[in-house]
Amino acid sequence: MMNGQSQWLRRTVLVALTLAALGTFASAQTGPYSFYSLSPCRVVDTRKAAGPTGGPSIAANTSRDFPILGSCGVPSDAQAVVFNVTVVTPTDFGDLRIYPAGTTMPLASVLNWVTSDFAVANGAIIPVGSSSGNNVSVRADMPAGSIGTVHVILDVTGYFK
Amino acid sequence: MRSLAWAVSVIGLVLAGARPALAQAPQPPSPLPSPLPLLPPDNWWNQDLSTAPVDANSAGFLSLIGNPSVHPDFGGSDGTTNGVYGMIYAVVPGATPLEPVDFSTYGYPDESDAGAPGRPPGYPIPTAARTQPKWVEGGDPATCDPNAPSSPCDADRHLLLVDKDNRLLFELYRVHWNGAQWQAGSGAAWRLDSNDRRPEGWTSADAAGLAILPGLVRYDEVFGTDPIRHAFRVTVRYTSGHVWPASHTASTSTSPNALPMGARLRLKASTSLSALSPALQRIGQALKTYGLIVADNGSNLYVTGAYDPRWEVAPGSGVVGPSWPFRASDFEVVELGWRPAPPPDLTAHQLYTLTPCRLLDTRLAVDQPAPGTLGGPALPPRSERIIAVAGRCGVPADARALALNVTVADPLAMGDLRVYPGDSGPPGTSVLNFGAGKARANGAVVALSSSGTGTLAIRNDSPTAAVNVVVDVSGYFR
Repeated sequence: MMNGQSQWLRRTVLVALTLAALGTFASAQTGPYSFYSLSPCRVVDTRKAAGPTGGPSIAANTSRDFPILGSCGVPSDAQAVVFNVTVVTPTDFGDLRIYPAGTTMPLASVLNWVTSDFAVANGAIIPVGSSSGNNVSVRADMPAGSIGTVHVILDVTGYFK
Repeated sequence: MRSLAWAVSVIGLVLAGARPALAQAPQPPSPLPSPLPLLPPDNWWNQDLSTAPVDANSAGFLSLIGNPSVHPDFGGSDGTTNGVYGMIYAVVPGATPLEPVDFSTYGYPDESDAGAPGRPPGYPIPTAARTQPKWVEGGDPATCDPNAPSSPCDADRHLLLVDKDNRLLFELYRVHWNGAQWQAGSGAAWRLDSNDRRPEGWTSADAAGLAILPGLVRYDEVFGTDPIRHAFRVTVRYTSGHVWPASHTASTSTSPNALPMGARLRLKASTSLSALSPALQRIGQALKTYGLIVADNGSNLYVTGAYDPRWEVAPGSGVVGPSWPFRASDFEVVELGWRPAPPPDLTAHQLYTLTPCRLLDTRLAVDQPAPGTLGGPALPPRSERIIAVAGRCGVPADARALALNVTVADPLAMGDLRVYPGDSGPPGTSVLNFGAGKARANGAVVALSSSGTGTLAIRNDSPTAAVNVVVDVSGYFR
């Protein structure tokens, strides 16, 4: 499978990711920001019909990006969002990473679950990014080779700017 | 109730008319003080529900009711010497002396008002109401003791009074004049210019903790020219828990399809009214716009009206029944606890940390005195509790959001919790999911009510299990 072209591509991507990560570190240290409250509002629910803030569920060891700004009263200049993150009907055990869209995936996770959980939730404050109109990336980590899926719900209760 | 022959009723009316003028509460009732409807235009009794979403379990709730017709549970005289149908109310001047009422012998002294807010204790009960008929629901004089063995007046025995000058509403349940003082099962007083809800968990003169008079069908409005601009009080056979605007539970069922106190039913907009009498059209339109609020356990779909002798001489209107041409299947249940979204809070707030502190622990039997922890009971299935947090755990009155840790202890079934500002309807979001036997905790940042009352609403979405909830606070935003 590996040939010269993909080797080059891989190297280029790695360099790009490193640069993106450096940029992320710079922007991650901005602030301070003030808090603005919102009436609780569901901004993403992958159980709904397919769409940018709906289905499908997230497959094992893949990511989906979601638009957040401009929905549920979160303004376009928000810098971080207060989420309640819920996973529903996982078919394999795993964890969720949520991070600003367009930045390097962090090691840090937001939520862990086991297969017998019907639904598990956790609160999290996540900085927002921007990539092709999306603001956060959600990655579902499951065992290597897993064919599991998990539904994700993002509720917002406030933001910082 | 209003099923006796008309002829008997007319005889009763004639007999009543022969009484001395001051022997009973003024009938027809004196006009209510304007502006009407009673209570502010944005009060839950006067809330336009026509755009509110339908509850996801609407069909399930209605299935437990069956499909009866709506029954107008009011009228004029029942044909006995004193007996009357419907709720009696009287409008009294502000100078009426205040009478102390004893709630401790038979009633709920801890959930009753000694008097109106900010006023000396007592209820403005005219002296004539002690011994004269037709002041108290049912019509018998207040000297009849509802608590006596085999009492002929063992019933709800409400006494409703409007102080027209101070704009106050006083309501009493199971009243009795024992020859020396007034006694009652419970009593509540409302300011007519306020949307004050009763403290969470408190009853009123009604089982749901709501006022009665604002939800009565009244003769003047049914036969007036303006639309009726408020919801009506209704009873159902089985209830479970309570949701806003109710404050009190009086469960008679554990069915997941039992409506909670405070649930609202709306006549479907598609229901045709054009073939009905003008009076029934006015009622039907009110049922579409404002709906019915479940306020007590009783017969299914009994709507309560004011006693008024003029109901007996309203020929051909169909208003006093025996039933209205609307069945349960013509209604839908509005999303439980729905209310219009408050205006968004667009101001910047800063975080203030607190020593972690327990705001609520429903495993405690009772509320601890402020600033201590609020207590039980556990949240009944599909029920909402609204807690006032200002002044507890160091949360100031001007806090606008809280940093919380929310825990469910030992739930017996699966469900989820919603946590949201106390003046908002339940959002389509949750804070915590739980399964049988699994204690769960979660962090959350949640806004408080924008009205400055510092309230937080917690709703148990499990249709079958009561849950114990613990809420800890570690910071606030303002």
